[in-house]
Amino acid sequence: MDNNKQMTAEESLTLIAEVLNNSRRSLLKDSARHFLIWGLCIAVFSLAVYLMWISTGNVAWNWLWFGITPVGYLGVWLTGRNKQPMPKSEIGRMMGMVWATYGVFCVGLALVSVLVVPLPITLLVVLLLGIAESMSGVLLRSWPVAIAGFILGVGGIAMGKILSGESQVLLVALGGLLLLVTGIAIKLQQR
Amino acid sequence: MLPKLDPLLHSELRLAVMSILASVEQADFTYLKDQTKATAGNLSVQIDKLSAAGYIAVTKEFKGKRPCTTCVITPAGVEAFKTYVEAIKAYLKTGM
Repeated sequence: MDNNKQMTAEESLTLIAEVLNNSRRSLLKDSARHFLIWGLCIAVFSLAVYLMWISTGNVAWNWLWFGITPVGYLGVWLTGRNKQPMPKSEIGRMMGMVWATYGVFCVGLALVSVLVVPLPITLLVVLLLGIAESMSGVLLRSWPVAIAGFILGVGGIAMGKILSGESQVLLVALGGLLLLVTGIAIKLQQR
Repeated sequence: MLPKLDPLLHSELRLAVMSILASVEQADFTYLKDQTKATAGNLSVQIDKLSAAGYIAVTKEFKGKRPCTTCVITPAGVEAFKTYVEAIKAYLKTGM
Protein backbone atom coordinates (compact mmCIF):
# COMPACT_ATOMS: atom_id res chain seq x y z
CA MET A 1 0.00 0.00 0.00
CA ASP A 2 1.14 3.49 -0.81
CA ASN A 3 0.84 6.09 1.93
CA ASN A 4 1.34 9.04 -0.43
CA LYS A 5 -1.34 8.08 -2.92
CA GLN A 6 -4.09 10.69 -3.25
CA MET A 7 -7.39 8.83 -3.14
CA THR A 8 -10.77 9.90 -4.39
CA ALA A 9 -13.73 9.68 -1.99
CA GLU A 10 -14.92 6.57 -3.82
CA GLU A 11 -11.51 4.89 -3.51
CA SER A 12 -11.44 5.69 0.21
CA LEU A 13 -14.83 4.13 0.81
CA THR A 14 -13.92 1.08 -1.29
CA LEU A 15 -10.67 0.66 0.68
CA ILE A 16 -12.51 0.83 4.02
CA ALA A 17 -15.10 -1.72 2.85
CA GLU A 18 -12.37 -4.02 1.47
CA VAL A 19 -10.27 -3.87 4.65
CA LEU A 20 -13.28 -4.51 6.90
CA ASN A 21 -14.31 -7.43 4.71
CA ASN A 22 -10.80 -8.95 4.73
CA SER A 23 -10.60 -8.57 8.49
CA ARG A 24 -13.95 -10.34 8.95
CA ARG A 25 -12.82 -13.12 6.58
CA SER A 26 -9.65 -13.67 8.65
CA LEU A 27 -11.72 -14.03 11.83
CA LEU A 28 -14.10 -16.41 10.07
CA LYS A 29 -11.16 -18.47 8.75
CA ASP A 30 -9.71 -18.79 12.24
CA SER A 31 -13.08 -19.91 13.61
CA ALA A 32 -12.91 -22.88 11.17
CA ARG A 33 -10.07 -24.38 13.23
CA HIS A 34 -12.24 -24.31 16.35
CA PHE A 35 -15.20 -25.91 14.53
CA LEU A 36 -12.90 -28.66 13.17
CA ILE A 37 -11.30 -29.51 16.52
CA TRP A 38 -14.46 -29.40 18.65
CA GLY A 39 -16.47 -31.19 15.94
CA LEU A 40 -13.87 -33.97 15.73
CA CYS A 41 -13.70 -34.26 19.52
CA ILE A 42 -17.48 -34.45 19.96
CA ALA A 43 -17.85 -36.95 17.10
CA VAL A 44 -15.03 -39.24 18.32
CA PHE A 45 -16.06 -39.16 21.98
CA SER A 46 -19.76 -39.73 21.30
CA LEU A 47 -19.00 -42.61 18.91
CA ALA A 48 -16.71 -44.08 21.59
CA VAL A 49 -19.46 -43.76 24.23
CA TYR A 50 -22.01 -45.31 21.86
CA LEU A 51 -19.80 -48.25 20.83
CA MET A 52 -18.63 -49.03 24.37
CA TRP A 53 -22.14 -48.66 25.80
CA ILE A 54 -23.80 -51.03 23.31
CA SER A 55 -20.96 -53.54 23.37
CA THR A 56 -20.63 -53.78 27.18
CA GLY A 57 -24.09 -52.59 28.31
CA ASN A 58 -22.34 -50.55 31.01
CA VAL A 59 -23.70 -46.98 31.40
CA ALA A 60 -20.49 -45.96 33.20
CA TRP A 61 -18.97 -45.33 29.76
CA ASN A 62 -20.99 -42.10 29.78
CA TRP A 63 -18.26 -40.64 32.02
CA LEU A 64 -16.21 -40.40 28.83
CA TRP A 65 -18.24 -37.28 27.95
CA PHE A 66 -16.23 -35.34 30.51
CA GLY A 67 -13.11 -35.96 28.42
CA ILE A 68 -14.35 -33.75 25.56
CA THR A 69 -13.52 -30.43 27.26
CA PRO A 70 -9.86 -31.11 28.24
CA VAL A 71 -9.07 -32.87 24.96
CA GLY A 72 -10.78 -30.08 22.95
CA TYR A 73 -8.89 -27.31 24.73
CA LEU A 74 -5.64 -29.26 24.32
CA GLY A 75 -6.34 -29.57 20.57
CA VAL A 76 -7.07 -25.86 20.24
CA TRP A 77 -3.85 -25.02 22.11
CA LEU A 78 -1.69 -27.47 20.10
CA THR A 79 -2.99 -26.29 16.71
CA GLY A 80 -2.82 -22.61 17.61
CA ARG A 81 0.57 -22.43 19.28
CA ASN A 82 2.60 -21.80 16.10
CA LYS A 83 -0.05 -19.66 14.47
CA GLN A 84 0.06 -15.91 14.20
CA PRO A 85 -2.18 -14.57 16.99
CA MET A 86 -5.51 -13.24 15.78
CA PRO A 87 -6.58 -9.77 16.83
CA LYS A 88 -8.96 -9.52 19.76
CA SER A 89 -12.39 -8.69 18.48
CA GLU A 90 -15.85 -8.27 19.92
CA ILE A 91 -17.10 -11.11 17.68
CA GLY A 92 -14.32 -13.46 18.82
CA ARG A 93 -15.05 -12.66 22.46
CA MET A 94 -18.78 -13.24 22.01
CA MET A 95 -18.10 -16.54 20.22
CA GLY A 96 -15.93 -17.61 23.12
CA MET A 97 -18.70 -16.69 25.57
CA VAL A 98 -21.33 -18.60 23.58
CA TRP A 99 -19.26 -21.80 23.58
CA ALA A 100 -18.16 -21.41 27.19
CA THR A 101 -21.83 -21.00 28.18
CA TYR A 102 -22.64 -24.12 26.17
CA GLY A 103 -19.94 -26.05 28.02
CA VAL A 104 -21.10 -24.83 31.45
CA PHE A 105 -24.72 -25.76 30.68
CA CYS A 106 -23.73 -29.23 29.43
CA VAL A 107 -21.60 -29.99 32.49
CA GLY A 108 -24.29 -28.52 34.80
CA LEU A 109 -27.08 -30.57 33.21
CA ALA A 110 -24.92 -33.71 33.28
CA LEU A 111 -24.21 -33.26 36.99
CA VAL A 112 -27.90 -32.58 37.78
CA SER A 113 -28.86 -35.65 35.76
CA VAL A 114 -26.35 -37.86 37.58
CA LEU A 115 -26.72 -36.44 41.09
CA VAL A 116 -30.24 -34.98 41.41
CA VAL A 117 -32.86 -36.00 38.89
CA PRO A 118 -32.52 -37.97 35.62
CA LEU A 119 -32.87 -35.73 32.55
CA PRO A 120 -33.01 -36.49 28.80
CA ILE A 121 -29.41 -35.28 28.81
CA THR A 122 -28.46 -36.38 25.28
CA LEU A 123 -31.32 -34.48 23.68
CA LEU A 124 -30.62 -31.40 25.80
CA VAL A 125 -26.95 -31.50 24.77
CA VAL A 126 -27.96 -31.75 21.10
CA LEU A 127 -30.40 -28.85 21.47
CA LEU A 128 -27.76 -26.70 23.19
CA LEU A 129 -25.20 -27.68 20.53
CA GLY A 130 -27.61 -26.54 17.81
CA ILE A 131 -28.32 -23.25 19.60
CA ALA A 132 -24.60 -22.54 20.13
CA GLU A 133 -23.81 -23.30 16.49
CA SER A 134 -26.70 -21.13 15.26
CA MET A 135 -25.56 -18.24 17.45
CA SER A 136 -22.02 -18.63 16.10
CA GLY A 137 -23.42 -18.50 12.56
CA VAL A 138 -25.36 -15.32 13.34
CA LEU A 139 -22.28 -13.70 14.93
CA LEU A 140 -20.10 -14.66 11.97
CA ARG A 141 -22.86 -13.62 9.56
CA SER A 142 -22.62 -17.09 8.00
CA TRP A 143 -26.11 -18.35 7.17
CA PRO A 144 -25.05 -21.97 6.37
CA VAL A 145 -23.64 -22.25 9.93
CA ALA A 146 -26.79 -20.70 11.47
CA ILE A 147 -29.10 -22.98 9.46
CA ALA A 148 -27.01 -26.09 10.22
CA GLY A 149 -27.33 -25.30 13.94
CA PHE A 150 -31.09 -24.88 13.66
CA ILE A 151 -31.43 -28.21 11.80
CA LEU A 152 -29.27 -29.93 14.40
CA GLY A 153 -31.12 -28.50 17.43
CA VAL A 154 -34.70 -28.77 16.24
CA GLY A 155 -34.14 -31.89 14.08
CA GLY A 156 -32.22 -33.54 16.93
CA ILE A 157 -35.12 -33.11 19.36
CA ALA A 158 -37.56 -34.46 16.75
CA MET A 159 -35.28 -37.45 15.99
CA GLY A 160 -34.98 -38.08 19.73
CA LYS A 161 -38.65 -39.01 19.80
CA ILE A 162 -37.92 -41.78 17.29
CA LEU A 163 -34.56 -42.95 18.68
CA SER A 164 -34.20 -44.10 22.23
CA GLY A 165 -31.48 -44.74 24.84
CA GLU A 166 -28.05 -45.46 23.45
CA SER A 167 -29.05 -44.57 19.89
CA GLN A 168 -29.65 -40.96 20.93
CA VAL A 169 -25.88 -40.70 21.48
CA LEU A 170 -25.55 -40.96 17.70
CA LEU A 171 -27.34 -37.61 17.46
CA VAL A 172 -24.47 -36.00 19.38
CA ALA A 173 -22.02 -37.71 17.01
CA LEU A 174 -24.05 -36.27 14.13
CA GLY A 175 -23.81 -32.86 15.79
CA GLY A 176 -20.02 -33.25 16.00
CA LEU A 177 -19.88 -34.22 12.32
CA LEU A 178 -21.99 -31.19 11.46
CA LEU A 179 -19.50 -28.95 13.29
CA LEU A 180 -16.70 -30.69 11.38
CA VAL A 181 -18.46 -30.10 8.04
CA THR A 182 -19.07 -26.46 9.06
CA GLY A 183 -15.34 -26.04 9.70
CA ILE A 184 -14.45 -27.59 6.33
CA ALA A 185 -17.07 -25.43 4.57
CA ILE A 186 -15.67 -22.24 6.14
CA LYS A 187 -12.12 -23.26 5.14
CA LEU A 188 -13.18 -23.93 1.53
CA GLN A 189 -15.22 -20.72 1.38
CA GLN A 190 -12.30 -18.61 2.62
CA ARG A 191 -9.68 -20.05 0.25
CA MET B 1 -19.74 23.62 1.90
CA LEU B 2 -18.04 20.22 1.90
CA PRO B 3 -16.18 19.17 5.07
CA LYS B 4 -12.38 19.04 4.91
CA LEU B 5 -10.92 15.55 4.78
CA ASP B 6 -8.54 14.71 7.63
CA PRO B 7 -5.13 14.61 5.85
CA LEU B 8 -3.85 12.08 8.36
CA LEU B 9 -6.54 9.59 7.40
CA HIS B 10 -6.60 10.46 3.70
CA SER B 11 -3.67 8.16 3.00
CA GLU B 12 -4.11 4.61 1.76
CA LEU B 13 -2.02 2.83 4.39
CA ARG B 14 -3.08 4.90 7.41
CA LEU B 15 -6.74 4.59 6.42
CA ALA B 16 -6.34 0.81 6.08
CA VAL B 17 -4.74 0.59 9.55
CA MET B 18 -7.54 2.69 11.07
CA SER B 19 -10.22 0.60 9.30
CA ILE B 20 -8.75 -2.62 10.72
CA LEU B 21 -8.44 -1.18 14.22
CA ALA B 22 -12.00 0.14 14.04
CA SER B 23 -13.23 -3.42 13.49
CA VAL B 24 -11.24 -5.19 16.24
CA GLU B 25 -10.47 -4.49 19.89
CA GLN B 26 -6.72 -4.63 19.29
CA ALA B 27 -4.34 -5.97 16.68
CA ASP B 28 -0.65 -6.72 16.69
CA PHE B 29 1.91 -5.38 14.24
CA THR B 30 2.26 -8.67 12.31
CA TYR B 31 -1.48 -8.89 11.72
CA LEU B 32 -1.60 -5.28 10.48
CA LYS B 33 1.39 -5.97 8.20
CA ASP B 34 -0.28 -9.08 6.75
CA GLN B 35 -3.62 -7.39 6.21
CA THR B 36 -2.21 -4.23 4.63
CA LYS B 37 0.65 -5.97 2.77
CA ALA B 38 2.85 -3.01 3.69
CA THR B 39 6.56 -3.20 4.45
CA ALA B 40 7.49 -3.28 8.15
CA GLY B 41 9.38 0.03 7.90
CA ASN B 42 6.59 1.90 6.15
CA LEU B 43 3.93 0.50 8.48
CA SER B 44 6.00 1.41 11.50
CA VAL B 45 6.31 5.04 10.33
CA GLN B 46 2.56 5.32 9.68
CA ILE B 47 1.72 3.77 13.05
CA ASP B 48 3.96 6.32 14.74
CA LYS B 49 2.13 9.15 12.92
CA LEU B 50 -1.30 7.84 14.00
CA SER B 51 -0.02 7.36 17.52
CA ALA B 52 1.43 10.89 17.67
CA ALA B 53 -1.96 12.27 16.60
CA GLY B 54 -3.61 10.35 19.44
CA TYR B 55 -5.70 8.22 17.05
CA ILE B 56 -4.20 4.94 18.22
CA ALA B 57 -2.42 3.71 21.35
CA VAL B 58 0.64 1.53 20.88
CA THR B 59 1.92 -0.94 23.47
CA LYS B 60 5.31 -2.58 23.09
CA GLU B 61 6.05 -5.66 25.15
CA PHE B 62 7.79 -9.01 24.98
CA LYS B 63 6.01 -12.32 24.56
CA GLY B 64 8.69 -14.75 25.62
CA LYS B 65 11.74 -13.54 23.73
CA ARG B 66 9.76 -11.98 20.88
CA PRO B 67 8.89 -8.29 20.81
CA CYS B 68 5.19 -7.66 20.32
CA THR B 69 3.66 -4.33 19.27
CA THR B 70 -0.07 -4.03 19.88
CA CYS B 71 -2.25 -1.24 18.51
CA VAL B 72 -5.64 -0.08 19.80
CA ILE B 73 -7.84 2.65 18.37
CA THR B 74 -8.49 5.45 20.88
CA PRO B 75 -11.83 7.27 21.39
CA ALA B 76 -10.29 10.25 19.54
CA GLY B 77 -9.38 7.86 16.70
CA VAL B 78 -12.91 6.47 16.55
CA GLU B 79 -14.32 9.99 16.39
CA ALA B 80 -11.84 11.01 13.65
CA PHE B 81 -12.62 7.86 11.66
CA LYS B 82 -16.39 8.49 11.92
CA THR B 83 -15.95 12.12 10.85
CA TYR B 84 -13.78 11.01 7.92
CA VAL B 85 -16.37 8.45 6.74
CA GLU B 86 -19.15 11.06 7.02
CA ALA B 87 -17.00 13.50 5.04
CA ILE B 88 -16.34 11.08 2.17
CA LYS B 89 -20.04 10.19 2.11
CA ALA B 90 -20.78 13.91 1.69
CA TYR B 91 -18.25 14.07 -1.16
CA LEU B 92 -19.86 11.08 -2.85
CA LYS B 93 -23.34 12.63 -2.55
CA THR B 94 -22.17 15.70 -4.43
CA GLY B 95 -20.46 13.49 -7.01
CA MET B 96 -16.95 14.81 -6.36
